[in-house]
Amino acid sequence: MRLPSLTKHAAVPICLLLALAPWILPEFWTLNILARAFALGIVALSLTFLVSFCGMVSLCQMTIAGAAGYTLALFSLNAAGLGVALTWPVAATCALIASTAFGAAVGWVSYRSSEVYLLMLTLAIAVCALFFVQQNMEIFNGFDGISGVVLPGFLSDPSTRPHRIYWLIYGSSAAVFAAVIYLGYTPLGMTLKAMRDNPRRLYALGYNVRTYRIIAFTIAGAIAGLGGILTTWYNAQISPGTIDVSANVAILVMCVLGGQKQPLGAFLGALLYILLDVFSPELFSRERFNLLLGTSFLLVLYFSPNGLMGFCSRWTRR
Amino acid sequence: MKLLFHVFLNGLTLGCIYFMVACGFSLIFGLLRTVNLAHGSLYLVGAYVGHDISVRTSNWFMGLIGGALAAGLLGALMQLVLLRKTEGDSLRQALLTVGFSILVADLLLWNYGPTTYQFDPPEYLVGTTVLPGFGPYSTIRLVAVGFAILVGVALWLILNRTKLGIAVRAGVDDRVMLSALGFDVRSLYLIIFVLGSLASGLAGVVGGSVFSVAPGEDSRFLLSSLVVVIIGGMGSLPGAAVGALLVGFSEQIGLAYFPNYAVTVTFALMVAVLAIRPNGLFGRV
Repeated sequence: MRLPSLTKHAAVPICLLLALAPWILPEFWTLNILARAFALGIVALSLTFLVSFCGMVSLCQMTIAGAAGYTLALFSLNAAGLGVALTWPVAATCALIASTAFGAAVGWVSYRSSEVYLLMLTLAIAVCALFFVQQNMEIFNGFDGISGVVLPGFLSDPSTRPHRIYWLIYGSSAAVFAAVIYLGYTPLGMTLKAMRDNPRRLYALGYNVRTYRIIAFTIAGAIAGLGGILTTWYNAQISPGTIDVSANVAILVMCVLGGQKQPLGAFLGALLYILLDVFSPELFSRERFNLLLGTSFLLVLYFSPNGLMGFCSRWTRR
Repeated sequence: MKLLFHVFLNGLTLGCIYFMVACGFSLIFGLLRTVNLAHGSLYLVGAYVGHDISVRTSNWFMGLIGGALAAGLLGALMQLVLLRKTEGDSLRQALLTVGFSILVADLLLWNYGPTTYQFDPPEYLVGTTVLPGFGPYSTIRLVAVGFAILVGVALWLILNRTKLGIAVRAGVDDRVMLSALGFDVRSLYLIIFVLGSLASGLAGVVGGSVFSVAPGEDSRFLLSSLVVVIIGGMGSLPGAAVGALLVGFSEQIGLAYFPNYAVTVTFALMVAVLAIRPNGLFGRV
């Protein structure tokens, strides 16, 4: 969990700069790049948490985030006219509970599978959830999803919205990032890491490995849920496209691009992903985004097992 | 009754195509411990190249051979360039194949566009065959069953009746011991990878003739292979066959009786199997 020394010294100024970003950078950068990167970065962080603490790779974190997003959309006023309109704190809480429960359920279903089996099982869960949501008209409104989600009061004024939504997303990601770092130093975090390194020994010491796996997935579910809520508010809609296989793979790509061994990697990877997404038309062509993405993913993975963070730490150590 | 029989036949043919894709996936995992998440891409490459060749030569069987060879070649390339260097790190290998599948899917989309292609099989394969006691049924689907049996029997013979097969089966159980005995495990890996890719490419042409060739088919067949091997058990040929048939049947039964939630039936089947036998029906502990 030790950060490269350069990052440690630069952390406070960078955090401050990011907080002041709406006054420094043009709105395009804060709203279309940084805000999106942070919101997706939270979902990627939930995967990085699973990988770095427990050595588990899940391919359904975006689906879990989508559980929160759909719950939020259904419990807010929306253009689809579905669900029950509640006040936003209640709706957001319900959304968090839904994703946490979904995460726990995934952990419960998959507690006996590890490594690649887990990867396959979670991929299967993601696809099944996608098809279910796509086919279901009564609750999830099928292909169209739920659009026109009415935002909470503090985001409703169009003139202040860009700044406020950026601060909301940035503040949430900073908070959840700090929480994950802190978790690394708690007994729970230590136990999870012990489970990653040697589950059998941990079991012999009297820990219930199964319970800890489910706990890890539950925590990851809550983190992903926060990302899902923010993404839904950011887009003011949610549809099956948000949780399809490529979206889930994208989360994995972010996680690996940034470096799956450190929490910071999630945000770095998300930023790189969004930058590629936004600037690929100028670099290459609009349609060939996946080619660019696949190539950079392969190259980073092939040459640096720990992604950009790996490059960074090699560079600062020199 | 007639509907039930039709559902049965559809399930059988679908299961047969799934089997051809999944058997390679399962064997590759059993021996190499590599989860080839680009296996669906091999299917799609086989289908597209096979279509190209069958149009050029106006011979469906040439397309069949060409598609299989193209997938086999791509598989060999993957194994030699991407996977050999990262041997032993199964998670990184799985991620590399994810990246590779993104790349291949986009290259195929670039080259072939988003249109759906239809194969043009020889006339005696188009149309219907009258099955005794049932009535007419699509011939090409019956041909698919034949090809699946062919692939299954060929693989079974290779695995059970040749020295190569003995080495492969020994490798599935204990790779380290096998290489300690002086077998060239690496070329064994390559052979199995190519065999699996060939089967997948063949399935691409056959499946493409039964259904159609379009972008997105790769993830569909990747998913079905995943579910098949999760249900059937990794690295087992009978497991792949039983798993494929179960998935094919459950999908068709779901489609016929509650069409909106067909996938959920398959998923329920998978969870049920996992709850009872975490290593799949034929998987060894």
